[in-house]
Amino acid sequence: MNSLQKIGKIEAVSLLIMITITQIIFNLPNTIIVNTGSSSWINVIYISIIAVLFCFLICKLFKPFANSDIVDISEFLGGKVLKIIVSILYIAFFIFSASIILRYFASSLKLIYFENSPLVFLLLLFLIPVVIVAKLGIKPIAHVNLIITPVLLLSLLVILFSTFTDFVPERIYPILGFGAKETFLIGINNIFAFSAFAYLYFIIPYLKNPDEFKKIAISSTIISAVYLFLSVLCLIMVFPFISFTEEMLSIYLLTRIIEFGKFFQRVDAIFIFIWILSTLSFLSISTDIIATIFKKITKIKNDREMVYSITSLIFVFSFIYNDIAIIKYIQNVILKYVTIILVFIISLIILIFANIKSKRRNYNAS
Amino acid sequence: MRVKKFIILILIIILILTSLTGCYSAQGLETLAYAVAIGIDKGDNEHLKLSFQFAILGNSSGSGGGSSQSQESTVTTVDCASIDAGISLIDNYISKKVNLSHCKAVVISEELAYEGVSEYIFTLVNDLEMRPDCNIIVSKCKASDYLENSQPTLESVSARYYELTLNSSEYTGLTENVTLEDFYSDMLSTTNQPHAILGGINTDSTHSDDKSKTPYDAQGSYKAGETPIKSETVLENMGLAIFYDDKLVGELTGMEALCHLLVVNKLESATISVPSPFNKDSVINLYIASPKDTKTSVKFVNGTPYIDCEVTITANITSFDDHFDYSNEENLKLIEDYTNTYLEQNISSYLYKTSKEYKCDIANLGRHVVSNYLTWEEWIESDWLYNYQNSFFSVKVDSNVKSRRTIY
Repeated sequence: MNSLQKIGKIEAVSLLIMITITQIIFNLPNTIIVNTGSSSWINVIYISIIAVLFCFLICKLFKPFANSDIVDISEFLGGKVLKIIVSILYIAFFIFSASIILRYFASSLKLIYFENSPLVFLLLLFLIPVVIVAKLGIKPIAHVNLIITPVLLLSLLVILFSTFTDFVPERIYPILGFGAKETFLIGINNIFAFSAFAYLYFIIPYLKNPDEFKKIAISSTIISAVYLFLSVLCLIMVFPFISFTEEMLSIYLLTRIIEFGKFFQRVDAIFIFIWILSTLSFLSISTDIIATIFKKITKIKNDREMVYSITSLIFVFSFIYNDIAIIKYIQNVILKYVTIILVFIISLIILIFANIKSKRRNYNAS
Repeated sequence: MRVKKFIILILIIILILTSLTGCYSAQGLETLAYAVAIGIDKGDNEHLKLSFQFAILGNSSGSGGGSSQSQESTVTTVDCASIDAGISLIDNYISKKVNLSHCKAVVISEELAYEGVSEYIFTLVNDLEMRPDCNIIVSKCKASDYLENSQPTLESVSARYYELTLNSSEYTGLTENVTLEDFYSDMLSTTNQPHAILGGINTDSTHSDDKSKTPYDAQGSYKAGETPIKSETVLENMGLAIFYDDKLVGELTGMEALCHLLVVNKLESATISVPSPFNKDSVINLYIASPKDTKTSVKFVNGTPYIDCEVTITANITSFDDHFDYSNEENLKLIEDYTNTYLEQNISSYLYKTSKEYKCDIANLGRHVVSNYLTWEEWIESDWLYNYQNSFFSVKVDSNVKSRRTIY
């Protein structure tokens, strides 16, 4: 990463929101609903509260390490060995997430609009712009993202409010869904919805003013939680079957029923266009962060040249999955637990022990 | 610098070439056959008889704006094992790819609907070309006959004909605009059962011959095909087809469909005839609308559902008589009482018919019960869809009748 490239508070918030919103579009709400049924909305409130508390904790734990990300903190705690392990884990996680999103959207697009086009063509259509943008660094990505995020947020609100007439409020009952245990105990697994924390761990070195990290973290988490809640609530109230069927793109189902009077119908193509932009933004952010981590462990001079290799890896990984059913399985089962273990457990343990080490060092020094 | 320019030039050429790749496998109007309606019948030789009504596209450079579809449409029928197999056979036969993105109606014959329709509904819902707002019609005749007899007289484009015809329920209330999405949702719902539009061919032989009907009964007491109408248009959609799970179990008349719309808060406006309190042989016509949502509550008395419906309507008198002053408050109050009693009887009759005769909650009354249960397991154990047949109803109608006489 070019060390001169820094981003402001709003740009950082919009980057983090983009991560969650893209995942909301790619069926995150359906995964939550299938696990918890009609009580998903309560589950989302519950995990959102936990996520906000977790966010406060993270901010507190990052405080002693000004201008450092999780890789730097790992080095501080366990030296180069831990640094390399954590870096490889995060690089694998970001490549894994990006390839899933890329393949998921390309396969969905192929199914909806481009039945006769080869999948490779669609995948390249996404990756070529990502290569060009990621070569330029985080600043152009953040600036373009700043334009896309409000459009994406607005489009999602339009979807949610346009389907208002199809709402059946009684569909939020039975209030405990598949049971209290499934909602609150097993349902805590749905915290994986806030996988944007993984990106949050790397955002500090990008910030013009690292002191604003807390504001950025809290505001992006709250906005993401609100959108997740609205999406889940909307899907439950519109589709009675959503708790039992694994939809491909549940938010896309909503767009198909939108009508603005009798004249404006079949507006789903507009939303698909906006989602293409959000996917590009998501992939660019992931690529840039992977390049930054790679630079930290290899100390290469020009990390931008790594963009070709990273996007090639994402491209190749996206071919691992044979079809959407396998992607859904990986997304719902493997990625879910990988996110929980890496982002919410391992990273937290590293931060806690690094803080203890830092306090001991300060104590010994004083 | 030259190398940089060369790379940019190459990139621009690649971008331009990529944007033209769509032409490689382009599909246009000439390669696609747009189905405006699908008919599904029980097959003669095979499992299914599938009919497609195709729009015949006219010359778009012809008579000005609007659709490029000509006045004609054609119906193609095939005996097949499944919907997809049928589409494939027709693709091969007409040498064009069948496209369902403009399909406005799925017509299922009554005969097939009695045996179950879930297989066909699931297939259609999973077809991305099918729109969720496509209507579901159960025809009292063969579905292929229904499509062949769709001869729009006041509308030249068959796709628009289906759209306009099926939207007429907004101002008649004699059927409901049931879409594929509604039907699919209801089929999978645990609080209600599905229903569809009831359609049929209207000819002299299908007209109702029930002489006992009173004048105020006559207007809405017909089912599809029974209305005594003489017209070039032979299709009629009136009433509703009721399903238990995915199997057809019964039919509702136009008036019962209107009562259904009142209970589910979907009535926009309609004209009804109520018995005149001043002359027992005549009727008063009212233009009704529902300004407030119907209040519904469900109580359980010894495990039996007791359902209370409070319907509010506004009504304008559209018929006039020299002998009575319809602006007189006493007269209006009398008409209000008659209207209330008339609608209460009809709504009660509709609800008891769905409960005792068909055992199907098509008004989604189960949604008022589900909040009594904490978990999904408890709700499923309560088996509302079975228990609905034990229901008792109390219906109260509060009408606000006004005289429309304002000009002369």
